[in-house]
Amino acid sequence: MREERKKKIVSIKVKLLGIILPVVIAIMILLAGILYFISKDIIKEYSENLLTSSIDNQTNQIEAWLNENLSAFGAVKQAIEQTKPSEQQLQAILDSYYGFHDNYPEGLYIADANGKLMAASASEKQETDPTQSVWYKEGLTRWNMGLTNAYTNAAGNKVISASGILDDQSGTIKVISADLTLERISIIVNSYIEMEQAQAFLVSSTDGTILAHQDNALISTNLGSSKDAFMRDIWQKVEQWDFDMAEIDDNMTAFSQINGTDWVLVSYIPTKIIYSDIDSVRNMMLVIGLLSILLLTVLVERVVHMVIRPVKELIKIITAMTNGDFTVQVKTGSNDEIGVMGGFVEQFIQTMRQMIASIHGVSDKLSTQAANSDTISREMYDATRHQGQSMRELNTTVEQLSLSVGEIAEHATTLAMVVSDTKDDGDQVGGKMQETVTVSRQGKDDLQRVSSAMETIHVSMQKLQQSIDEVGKASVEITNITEIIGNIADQTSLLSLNASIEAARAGDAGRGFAVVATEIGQLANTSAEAVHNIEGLISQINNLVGDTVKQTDESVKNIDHSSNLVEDTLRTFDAIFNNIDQVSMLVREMIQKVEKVDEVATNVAAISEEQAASSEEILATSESMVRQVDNITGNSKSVSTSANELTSSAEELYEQVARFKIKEEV
Amino acid sequence: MMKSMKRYVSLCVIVVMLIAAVSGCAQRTGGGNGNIRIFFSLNKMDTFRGTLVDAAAERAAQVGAQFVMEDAEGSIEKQVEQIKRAAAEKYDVIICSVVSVDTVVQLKMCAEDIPIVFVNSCPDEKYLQSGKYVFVGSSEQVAGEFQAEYVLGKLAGSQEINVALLKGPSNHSATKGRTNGVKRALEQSGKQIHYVFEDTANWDTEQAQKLFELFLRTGSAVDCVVCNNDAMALGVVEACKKNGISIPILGVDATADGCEAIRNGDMAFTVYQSGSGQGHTAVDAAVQLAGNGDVKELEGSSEDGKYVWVDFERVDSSNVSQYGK
Repeated sequence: MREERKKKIVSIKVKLLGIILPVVIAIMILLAGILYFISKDIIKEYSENLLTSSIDNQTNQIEAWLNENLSAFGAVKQAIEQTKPSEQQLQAILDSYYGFHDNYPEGLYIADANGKLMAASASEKQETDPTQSVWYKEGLTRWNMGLTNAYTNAAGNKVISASGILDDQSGTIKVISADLTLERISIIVNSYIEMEQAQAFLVSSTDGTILAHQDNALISTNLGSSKDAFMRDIWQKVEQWDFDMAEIDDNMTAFSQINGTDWVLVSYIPTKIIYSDIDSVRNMMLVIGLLSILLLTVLVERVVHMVIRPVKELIKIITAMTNGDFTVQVKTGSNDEIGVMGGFVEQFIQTMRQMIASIHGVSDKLSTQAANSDTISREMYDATRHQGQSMRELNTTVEQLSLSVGEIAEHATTLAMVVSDTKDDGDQVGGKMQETVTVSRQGKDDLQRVSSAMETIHVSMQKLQQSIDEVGKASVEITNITEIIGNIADQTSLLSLNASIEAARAGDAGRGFAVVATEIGQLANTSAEAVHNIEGLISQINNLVGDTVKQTDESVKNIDHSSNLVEDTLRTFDAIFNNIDQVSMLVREMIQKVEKVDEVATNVAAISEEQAASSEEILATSESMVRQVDNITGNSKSVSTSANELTSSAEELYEQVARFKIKEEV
Repeated sequence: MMKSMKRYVSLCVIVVMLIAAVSGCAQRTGGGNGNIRIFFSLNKMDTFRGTLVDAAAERAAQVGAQFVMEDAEGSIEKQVEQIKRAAAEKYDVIICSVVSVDTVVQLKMCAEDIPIVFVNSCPDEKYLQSGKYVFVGSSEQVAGEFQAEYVLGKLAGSQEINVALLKGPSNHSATKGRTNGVKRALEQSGKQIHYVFEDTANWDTEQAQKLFELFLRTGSAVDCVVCNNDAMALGVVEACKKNGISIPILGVDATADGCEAIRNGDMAFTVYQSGSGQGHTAVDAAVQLAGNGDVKELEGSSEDGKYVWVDFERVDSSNVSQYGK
């Protein structure tokens, strides 16, 4: 374990260097990159400005040099024009300028339209026909002296002439001229290059003749027909009158027109020269960067080394502490964070020493106590085990009891059910009895109704007899009446017969009356007849009534008989009814008794069930008690184990603590 | 929370009001230009510059700017002194036709921080700066090109052309531009061009006449005379009249005399440099610079904001009636 940890340790020094160096290198590279591009731009712009200023300066110098010479010539020319000298005087003047200035060693010379050439006496200048010379022809195109293109003169020298018309009012056109050697102009052109390593040459913009160049061989050659592509490209630009600065074939090239001439000064510098500066800047930055990184590495290494030295001391102490040695001493030398840390470690060691000493004491005590608890727990375990056994026995007993009670309850329940059934049957019988009583009561009632109906019939019969008797009496009276009526009718008939005899005596007068008497006689006859009929009828009625009476008497007799029968029946019914009633009463009483039995049986069943439940509960309780006792036994066992462990822990603690050294061993 | 919110809102309102106020002010200045003071330093009065100054004064009055013009009468010292005074009196902008383009750096220093609109003579490009030092004028090269165009048209039949060229002072920007313009255009025509005479007559009629008479005495053949300005062309006209020669004579500027000469048939062609246009545009440019703007919005301005070009116009017998009055 310790070995592995040791392998994983990476020193702070390495870590710090590992973090700082890549960052520093990245920053350096970034910085160098930015600086490189910025300086490239700056150097390019600077170079452009430098080239511009260089070519401007050259132009000014060349213009000044040309103007200086031209004004010198102009002064001579003006003097000649003003003074109008004689030929001798003129010769003297020309002589005086011979060798006067090394810019134009030959001095001035004059030719007229007639081909006469005047030069200094010492001059070797000779021309067969000066009017055909370049200087003469070009001089004719101006009064102010101006410069010709480069040309080869009669003597075979490459020159540029300054020439112009000499207006001496003589009537003959004259041209005055002076030669400037091209070498001289080249020297002038190349002398004033300000920018190092830049090159310059002068070219005529009209025909591309090179007027001045470092390479003398190129002077008065044509730019457009040069072998050098760069030169041809320049000519292309000059021909277009495009005088802006441009990069041509890797050369930064600037152009400048020379005032008062058709000349163009071209100055150029290869871009690689410009950028070589940038490259050297880049290399310098690279070297500085590398050096800085190296310096920084050493610096960081040294600083970290110094800083972490006390840490190493502390590591030794902490390692000793890890190994349990608290006898070590911390030297708190420095006053920085690490010093403070050392101080605290020292305090920590002190505290640890005290703590370990007190732990020693505590662990001793703990050992003793653990042993004690071990013994106690063993005893407790035994006790509980006994208790458990007793409890189990109790439990068995309760179980048996519970079974018995259960059986009782079962039996009581069965009884209760049987009784209950009986009661139901009794109830049914009671119901039947009740129905029977009701039915017999109805029968009795019906019979009573029949009896009373018989009574009614009897009464009716008696009433009928009475009625018939009254009919008999009435018919007797009717017979009496009819006899009276018959008598009356007989008398009436006699009267009518008398009347009719009297009417017949009365003659006609009694005719009418005779009619009435006849009528009455008839009526009396009719009435006698009717009475006769009625008598017949009444006797029939009397016969009928007599029959009826007879029959009625018989009916009454029958009815009376029936009535007696009914009453007998009634009496029998009553007797039955009373018997039934008594049976019903008995049944009811029986039912009531059965009900009581039922109640009792139910109660017994309920009670024995309760008993069974109670015994179950007792059983459950005793079972849980057994379990608890078992638990207690288990617990007391684990207490015992714990006590054992505690004892061994206490022993271990003692051993561990013993490992810490807090006193120098003697 | 509410308090800071309120504070924030009120701050916003103040900022908005400030912006409104400032932009309102700026607009007022732009519209009325009541506060702009323009100083015009003239190199030397002549006909053309008179037109230019008059147009500038008129335009300044139109835009409501104060306009002061002083004539340096061709003196570098006087001009430097004028510019120094303008700086001391805190003018907003200076319009300057320089006596010599070589003094531009000195003039800029004297003007301190005041922007300058150069007119008439064009300083070297490196002395110009967008929004600060600008040139208002006509591209001299174009004038030369117009002349070459006329010559090539007039002498279309000949393959060889003999040209006499009379130039202004060699250090003058117009001389370089016009000469370059005409030479370049002629050379690019592919014809054989012989410059039978090429000298400077310093813009001057008499010098030009003298030089051309001298040239005529050389007996060289000449097909046309191209002058950098009308004054010199008129000198050539005199010389030709004396010698009974009639060839196309070209000038630049379309001065009253030049136009008169064209009307009379003495001169063939000139180029009208719009003095009034330049004066007008110079003031417009000055107003822009005074308002810390640049001239890029103005018509004819170059992309780099250093120049505002005012168009040249061709003048010959066909349209001379519109010019030179």
